Amino acid sequence: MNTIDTADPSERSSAAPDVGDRGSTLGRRRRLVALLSLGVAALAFIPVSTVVYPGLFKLTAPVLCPAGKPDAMVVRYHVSTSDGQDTNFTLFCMDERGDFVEAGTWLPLGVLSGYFVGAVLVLVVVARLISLIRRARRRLRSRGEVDLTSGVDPFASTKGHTGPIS
Amino acid sequence: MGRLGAVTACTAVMVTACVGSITENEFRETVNRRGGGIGSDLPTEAIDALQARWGGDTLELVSLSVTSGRVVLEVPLPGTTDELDRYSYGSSGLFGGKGLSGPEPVPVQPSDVPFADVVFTADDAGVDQIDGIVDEALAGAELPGVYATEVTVNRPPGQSDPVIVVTATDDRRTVVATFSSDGSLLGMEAP
Repeated sequence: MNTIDTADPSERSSAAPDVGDRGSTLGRRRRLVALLSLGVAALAFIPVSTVVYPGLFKLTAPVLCPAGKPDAMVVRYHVSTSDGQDTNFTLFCMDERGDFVEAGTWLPLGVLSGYFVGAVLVLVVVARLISLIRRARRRLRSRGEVDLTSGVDPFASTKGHTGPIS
Repeated sequence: MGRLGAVTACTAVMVTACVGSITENEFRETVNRRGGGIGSDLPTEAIDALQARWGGDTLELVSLSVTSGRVVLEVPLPGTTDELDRYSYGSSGLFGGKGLSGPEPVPVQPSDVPFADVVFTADDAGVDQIDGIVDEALAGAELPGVYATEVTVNRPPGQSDPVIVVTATDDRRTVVATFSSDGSLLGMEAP
């Protein structure tokens, strides 16, 4: 299309950011969707994993336990529900005297979800860095090949040779 | 195969759910093994929380009782001479409630001693001494596996300062140790 070539430069400059905006809005949307998906995944994954292994709550002790009560313990207890009995887990922080404070269930779940989202984000950043490094290496390599072919003829020694190359 | 997988998964969850967690009784046993879980932190927090609700006035108490994870404070109603309110403060929702709760009215008997003879200020309660007092009481009890079950602070009628009473047990015998609010041992008996 020649619309770009014939367009007034002022129009072109006003149109370009529009496309960029649309692109960045799409990117932002994608990122938002990815982040929301990550949050939903954390909300689904963390409670299930704590039911399978409630000891995971102990990982939140450095964040939730007050100074002086570093010993984390997960206590399971039964509560009556309309369906019968349910087992709940709650995190306690204790000191050497046996003095304790309950950190609860939801706070450790929230902190574990934060850990999960943080770990996935770190993985994403590391994967992105690796891909950027690989792309940069590939670009450097391809530049090196161009230099080689433009500067040195790799078949120069075969010039004038009529027989098969041995 | 699908059914077997589901059964295996359920069994795995049931088995691992017990790993890394303990029951309420096991938790209580751990608390008792460590001495009963009574210290200065919780009553100090309780007094601070009640003082914050009380405002700037000096907080006066008729009694303060500390058990594991729970503090109960009896406070005379301001402007009255025969009405008492009870507040409780806990560190766990599972074991008696978390945070400050109350007031609840306390029934007072006509034969009870006038408040003026037994009331003391929160500053005079000596709660910062409780850690050392409990340690001394447990050491003095000379019972294997002994733990503190309760610490109470009250002012006996006719005395100017409150006393701190520690009750300790090894589940077979009970020892009661009485201390002054500055932490000096006044007496120890096995009732």
